[in-house]
Amino acid sequence: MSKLALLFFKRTPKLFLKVGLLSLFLFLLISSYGIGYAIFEKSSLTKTIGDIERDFEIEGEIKQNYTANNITLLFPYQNYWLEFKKEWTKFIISDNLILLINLAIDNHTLQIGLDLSESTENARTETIVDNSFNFFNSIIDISSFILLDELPFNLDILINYKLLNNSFSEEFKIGPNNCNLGYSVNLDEKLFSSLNSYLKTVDKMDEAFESFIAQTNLVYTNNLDSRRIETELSFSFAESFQSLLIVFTFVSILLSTWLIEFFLSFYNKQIAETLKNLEKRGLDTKNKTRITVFLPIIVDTTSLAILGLSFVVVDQVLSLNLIPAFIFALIGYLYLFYKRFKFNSLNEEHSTRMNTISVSIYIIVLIISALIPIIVNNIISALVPPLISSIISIGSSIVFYYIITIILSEIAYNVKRSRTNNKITDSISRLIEKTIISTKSNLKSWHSLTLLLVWAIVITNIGSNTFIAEYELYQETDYPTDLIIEIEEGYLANVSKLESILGIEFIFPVSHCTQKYMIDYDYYLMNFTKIDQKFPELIKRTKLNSIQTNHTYISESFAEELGFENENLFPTSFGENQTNIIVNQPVIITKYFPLVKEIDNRPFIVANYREAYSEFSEVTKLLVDFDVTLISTEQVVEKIRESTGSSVSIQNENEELDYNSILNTYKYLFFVIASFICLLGFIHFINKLSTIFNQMNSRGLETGKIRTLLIKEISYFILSAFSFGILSALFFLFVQLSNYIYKIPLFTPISIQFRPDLFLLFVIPSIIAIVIFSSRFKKNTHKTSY
Amino acid sequence: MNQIIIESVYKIYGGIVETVALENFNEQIDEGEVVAIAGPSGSGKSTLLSCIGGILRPTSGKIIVDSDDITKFSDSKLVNYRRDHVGLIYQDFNLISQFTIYENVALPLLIAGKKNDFIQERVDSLLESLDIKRYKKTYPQYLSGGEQQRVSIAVALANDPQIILADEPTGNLDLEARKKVLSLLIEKAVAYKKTLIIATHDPFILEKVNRVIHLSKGKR
Repeated sequence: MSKLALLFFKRTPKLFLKVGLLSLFLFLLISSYGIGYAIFEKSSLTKTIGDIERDFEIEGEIKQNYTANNITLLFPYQNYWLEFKKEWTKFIISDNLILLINLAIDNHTLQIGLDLSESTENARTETIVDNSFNFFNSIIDISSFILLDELPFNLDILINYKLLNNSFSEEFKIGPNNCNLGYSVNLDEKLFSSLNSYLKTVDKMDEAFESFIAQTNLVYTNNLDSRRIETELSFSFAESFQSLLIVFTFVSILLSTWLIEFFLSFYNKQIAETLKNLEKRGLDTKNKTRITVFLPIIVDTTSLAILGLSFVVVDQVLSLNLIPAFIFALIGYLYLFYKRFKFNSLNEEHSTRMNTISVSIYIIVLIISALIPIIVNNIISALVPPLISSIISIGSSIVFYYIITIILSEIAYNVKRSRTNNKITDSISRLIEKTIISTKSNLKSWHSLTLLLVWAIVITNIGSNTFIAEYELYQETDYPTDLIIEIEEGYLANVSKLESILGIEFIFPVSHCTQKYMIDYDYYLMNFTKIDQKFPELIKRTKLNSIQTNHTYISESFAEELGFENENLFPTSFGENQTNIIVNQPVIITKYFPLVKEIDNRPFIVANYREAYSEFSEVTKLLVDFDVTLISTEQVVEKIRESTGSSVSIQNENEELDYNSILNTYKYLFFVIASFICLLGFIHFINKLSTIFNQMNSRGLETGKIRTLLIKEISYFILSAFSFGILSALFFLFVQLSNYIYKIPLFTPISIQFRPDLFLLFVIPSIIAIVIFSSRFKKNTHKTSY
Repeated sequence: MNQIIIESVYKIYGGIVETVALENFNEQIDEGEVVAIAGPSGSGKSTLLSCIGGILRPTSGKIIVDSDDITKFSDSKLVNYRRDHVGLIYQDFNLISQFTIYENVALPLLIAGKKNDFIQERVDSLLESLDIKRYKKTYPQYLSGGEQQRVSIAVALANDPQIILADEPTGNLDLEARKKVLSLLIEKAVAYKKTLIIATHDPFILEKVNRVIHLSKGKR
């Protein structure tokens, strides 16, 4: 780079800073899809793994027969297991090397798991009173049970071998016919950026385990059977959220494309004007090219590098997979690169498309061009792999709507233009109209931008409201309480005291039993008497006061199999398609334990808190139902604070995953950026017009009159942009929305809110116009040299 | 009688460094007089013209036109003064490129609220007299410098103002166009009995006018 070019760079730092910031902003906008998707991937990963708990398992058929006498021969294999785990320690939260035993008793098969791992430090255990247990003709003497939220391999029982006090009975026989060896691990999802990276690690572990198990000569390796976690997200809103991201994506990319064209010409013109001066001072063509082309490229490259660096930092800190986002930014960069080289002809004024026929032909060509991407999309997506096809799909949608936007802008512009041209310019207002029409490129840019923004806002509003309506419905059914209150230091006082507060209908105390178990475990307790009063349909048979603290819960069918007496049962029906029974005697922890219902992705255990209360360490959370006509949220919080003496806070939203806030942040950030851009475009347009209006002013046209006429004319373009925006949004709804937005049931009430943000598009430009014109023509004079 | 009396006019431009463009300037220009204001660049010619034309307000002093002190005019009255009494001709023509020649000339008449029939007749007659009627529907950028300047003379004369102010009207023209435009300008001013004030340092113009006011550093 020559010294002159560097001098130019030094002399115009603001200009290059502007170009750099703009480029950075454009790349960021264009990569918004990648960022959104990375957040979604991460959230989905947390949600998926959080729900499934059991992450990965593999099993193989053992080779030898084992009886109660030699079963201990299996135990030394824990050392192999420890060796295998070493490499993966940092990812593993909990693990089990399990001997899976299928016991066929009469017509029933029970699958018991014998955990061969060194210890159960990652699992919680429970001691029962009678540790010698007669189970299906085998006497199993164990000191404790292992408690897991959900047992792997669909086990009915999981026992750690170290918890066995003595061996199985003589009748106990296991071998290749009824026994497999498997392992199960829970991986720490925080260390993975996406479901894909998680699955890749699982794949590697799979391979390593296979080779490990082959070395042990313990099982037939050809009989290895992997059972993976479900990779598809099963949540109804996952698909709709992804669809919304696609909507945001192509609107963002469309907007970025427009912006690149709009602002690039604007800043390039500024650079060109500065260069003119330098040319007069002897700048040669070679240096001019360097400054025009290469310097902005250096600025853009720096911007891209800064963005890339920020992505790497974010990636490291939050484990977000931002590679796709950077690829999008890179595409934006290449587009900008192409536009910079193409930008040479600055003459955009006075198009020759003046008559109706040529305009009609132009529009027909545009419509055909708009159809091509759809055809291309349909053909190509059938031929290429899904990943490429999805990118093509987004790309063709962008091209399609880009062209639609141009068509609508062109129509609005030409309708106005032909109207103006056909009339004799016999009045000032017609001349003003003509002036606006004449500044074609600026007008079209601004108009199209407004159109695009209105369109984008309408679509994102409808889309997100539809989504939120569905999701709120989901939340409503899942969270029956009005308020969830966190108690900072725990609370051991009488909960019934809280229930006596006027207006409070229910208090559901929630406890973390950290002292009793090895990991945090939420128990949701409630008063059955009140449940019976409020939801009588939920209680089929009640035997209040018959529940003991060591009760546990099994399914009704399993209870029947076990021959429990009706008197010992306490049936409830809280779980979906699940009837649960509380039994009056200890039972080995089974896969049925203890899920009755989930709240916050935790098991919701129903018990009579008055009796069970002492068993739990402390209440840390209160789920409160109250009558809003009698007491306000603030009053509830205050009363509870007074009663408990602890500091309390409201936990309104689901901590684990809040799609609404992600969505709203995304939506409003988009709106703020969009409004900002729209304003910039408008100010630029007004600035362009001001020169002409200054000339008119110097010929005696009063400022007030100019202002009135201008606002009147501008209003037409705002209104037309708004109308076309609504039209294109409706078009979008009919043509594409069914593919993108989650289809909600017909009976679901949807409120499509037209919030003030749409009307701000009218108000803000009008205010800006008034402010600009007030200051510009304040003195009714224009500058002159002397 | 549209006599222009300039009394003790100062014009000081503010900023980091104050610039005195006019200093205690006094002058009297009679109706129908053709006057040139001569002086080097930065002597205050354009500023004086702008003050007379109501584009700039002097820092102090009086400019009396037809018995009215225009320095005391309100903004809106000043706009009316510019519209009804003054015709402006600029070195760079100052035509609106988005308007046709007809529209450019018609604009001051439209602003003045004249009727359409009158406007049409007036514009046609002006364009005819300046020999540019054939360009009526053309846009300014397609005309030569001389032709554009003739259009700007038509614009200046459109509202039949008593005072015509020309700021370096021949500055952008070649020798032949310069002679032609200047002859036309003076001829029209004399024919319509207008007061013509030309800011220039063109010696050719200085020969043609009735009187020359020499300016140097804002003073006579």
